Amino acid sequence: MSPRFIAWAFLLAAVRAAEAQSPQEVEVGVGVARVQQRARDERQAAVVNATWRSSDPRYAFLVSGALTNTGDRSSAAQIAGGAAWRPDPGSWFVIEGGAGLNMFGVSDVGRGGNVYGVVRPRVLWGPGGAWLSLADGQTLRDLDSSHGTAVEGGAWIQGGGFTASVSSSRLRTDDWPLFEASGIFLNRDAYSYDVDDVMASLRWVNGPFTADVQKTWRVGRRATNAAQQAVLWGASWAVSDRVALALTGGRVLADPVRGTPDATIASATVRLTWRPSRSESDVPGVKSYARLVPQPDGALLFVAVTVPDGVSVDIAGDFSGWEPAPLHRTANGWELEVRLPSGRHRVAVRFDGGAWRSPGNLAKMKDEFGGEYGLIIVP
Amino acid sequence: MTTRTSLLTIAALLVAAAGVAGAQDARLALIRDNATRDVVNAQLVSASSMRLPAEPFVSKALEGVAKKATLKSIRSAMAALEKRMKTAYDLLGPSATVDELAAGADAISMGVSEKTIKQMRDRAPNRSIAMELGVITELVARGVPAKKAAAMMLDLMARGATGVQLTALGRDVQGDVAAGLKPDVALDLRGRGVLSLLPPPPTVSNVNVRPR
Repeated sequence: MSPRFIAWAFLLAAVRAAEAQSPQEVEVGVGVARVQQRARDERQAAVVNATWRSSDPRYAFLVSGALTNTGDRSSAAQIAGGAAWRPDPGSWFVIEGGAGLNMFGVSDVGRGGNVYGVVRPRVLWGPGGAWLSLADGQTLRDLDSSHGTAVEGGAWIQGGGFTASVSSSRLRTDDWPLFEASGIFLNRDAYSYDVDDVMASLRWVNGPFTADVQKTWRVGRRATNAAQQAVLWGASWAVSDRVALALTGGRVLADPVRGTPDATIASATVRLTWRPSRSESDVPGVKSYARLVPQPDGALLFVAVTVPDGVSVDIAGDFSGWEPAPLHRTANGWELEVRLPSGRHRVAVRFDGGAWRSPGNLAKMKDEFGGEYGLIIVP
Repeated sequence: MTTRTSLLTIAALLVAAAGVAGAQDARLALIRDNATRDVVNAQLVSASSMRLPAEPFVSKALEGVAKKATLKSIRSAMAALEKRMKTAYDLLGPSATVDELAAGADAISMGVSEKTIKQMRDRAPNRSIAMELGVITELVARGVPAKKAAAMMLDLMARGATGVQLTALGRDVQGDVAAGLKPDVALDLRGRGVLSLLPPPPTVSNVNVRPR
């Protein structure tokens, strides 16, 4: 297998890192990967990647880099950057953009590389939203230049710890070696090659556990003949606030925008995260508000939390045995609704795994563990 | 007490303790760390020997575990809670409910004086004052001076304020404080509003008037 394709594993690892839950954090991942490009030898590699991410209510930035060492001349490198902007913190509109640079074979740079960019406007409503994405990439492989574009539309919805999304895209490229290696190439003399993808993904988050599965169906269009399917799965376990274990496996289809091939991968990574302890007062754009609505047999407690994208939220209390309570996604953040019987109750909220604090509007009490909780008295 | 009676008493206590422990098993099972669970069990035995209910201790331990507190700080927090609960027990009497004891412990932690808690109990010796203790704790936590909160609460209890009125008072004070009013001024304003809706306190003269 060509070593350039090892970079695909690290690109994937970097993309996973880019989905890290917190702004203002540095994450380092170390692990091993096994990659097999279609019809080629299997390769093993050591993986090291690093991500820095920062955000405020209107902007978010990300820089991610990955290195691989295959024990020979075929090491690879990848770097990607991204930004997101919204007109105001509560806006229903977000625009994201990013660019990446891949080098296939660091010790032999002449073997190839890729540069790509992507723009993705998103609209948010209720617990979901939709996006339209435009991507363009240029690949130089063994002195042959090729070009790829993609137009994608999709939508997602969240609820009960699940996030489901579906998208459809049209890819056009003149990168015939890539499609030839993928087995979907038909006519070498064609001006360009088109394929259509439909992708469905599901993410489930339950406390420290996260599971993802993504399925792609590809149909060949102009000068191609493809009826491919691929399933990619991932799972992670946050052992603590700083340490997480992640597994990824499955197949990814050739991506002409990023110059990456059809490959089967399996990777295991340990992720170490450094982030400052954050509370509501020092996370810009974060607000929480608790409201108690009396009922005949107690009260309904509503806790609404407004957070920028990427800020994680946990709410717990004695009503949930201090386990994180299930939250509902709203346009601007998250909401908890729980029925409380008459009596005394405690509730606390934290952001990005930081110190536990009382939600706004409640009486703040010290919790003797370095944080606080909000006191609720239900008549 | 005869030896036989003593043995029966001990046996009954053991059965009762086993019952308490059994009831808590399910929640203690959530504590995966053996050392922490041992500390909590030891604390429950200690609390039981003082006739203190287990529930607030289990809840505090689960809170500490969920917040990833160290074993040392969980032990320290439960010891401090035991001390406050014991004081509340002494002030509120042996018939105090779990909610009253927990609310009393909260009030003590916020600086409500023991004298105030005793006076509150004296105002309502035959019913739970968990709500009143909770509200006074809320008020102090919102910045009302403890003495000012105590005086208003004792007045409200003497006039027969209901739980709904008291919790509404706490919310209104919070709203006023959020709007910029000083906590003690907000309590004065809102407390007078509640008092104006209540019947006057019984006096010596009209207490002894025979109803017509």
